[in-house]
Amino acid sequence: MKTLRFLSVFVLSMALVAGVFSSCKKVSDADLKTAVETVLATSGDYSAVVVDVKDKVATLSGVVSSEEVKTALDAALKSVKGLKSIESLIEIAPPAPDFTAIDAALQTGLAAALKDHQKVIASVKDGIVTLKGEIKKADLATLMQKISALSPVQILNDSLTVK
Amino acid sequence: MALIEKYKEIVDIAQQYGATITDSGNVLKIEGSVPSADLKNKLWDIYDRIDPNFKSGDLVLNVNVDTPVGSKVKVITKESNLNIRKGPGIDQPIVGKAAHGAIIDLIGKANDQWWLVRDTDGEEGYAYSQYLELV
Repeated sequence: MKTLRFLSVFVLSMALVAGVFSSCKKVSDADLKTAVETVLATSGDYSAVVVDVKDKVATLSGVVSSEEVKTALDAALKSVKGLKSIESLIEIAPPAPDFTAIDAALQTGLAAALKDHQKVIASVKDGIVTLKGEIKKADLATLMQKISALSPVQILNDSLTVK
Repeated sequence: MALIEKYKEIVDIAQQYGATITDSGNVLKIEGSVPSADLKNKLWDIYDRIDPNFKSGDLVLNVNVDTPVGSKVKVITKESNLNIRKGPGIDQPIVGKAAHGAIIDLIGKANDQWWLVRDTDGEEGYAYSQYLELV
């Protein structure tokens, strides 16, 4: 009888101890960081966001494409248990620049630049000039100088055959 | 290797003349002007040496020769005469021609590409600036 009582007290106290332990189970900052990173990995929208966790406070920084993405991320992070708070330093990326006017100006400039290089074909997209066709080595630098003077974003000529 | 390192030789010279250097990560842009055509050609020679035939597409070398209005300029077409046009653009009618190698007057600039010139006959019009070199 005594043994039984001892046993039940023992079991009860063990349960209590376990209960206490589980309620203040140590969730480390590293665990929380991993948990947040798991959420960040769920969408390519968050690819430019990084997190740091210190004293259970998560600090998010980086860039997302829109306010909607930022809101969605806030909502998704509610699933991470154990965070005291979330501090967001996330910025909204400016909209992609409009290259319409730049491309039009490049097209006009290219017409003059290519006038004496009849075998060269140029295309323009997003400020990038792509050259194809063929050119003599002696004329290559001249052509490149003419196009560089138009201040394009980039000149791609790896498909241009140099004779 | 960072592009600024790859093209360090060019960057160093261009910076002496106050060029603007911007690195977008995959393209280095050098924009500015140098005092002589020789120096501009030297930069392009270095460029061709570092990146043969300019194939990498990682540099935009927009360096022009400082050519103030009022300067004498030489026609540096490959061999043909240089068209002088009524307005700035190849869609403009040709009003005259300046001979290859001729030295003419720069009297104005419509933009970086089209300069107003007066040729040896006294004819005035716009010519493509890439075929004009400061003398």
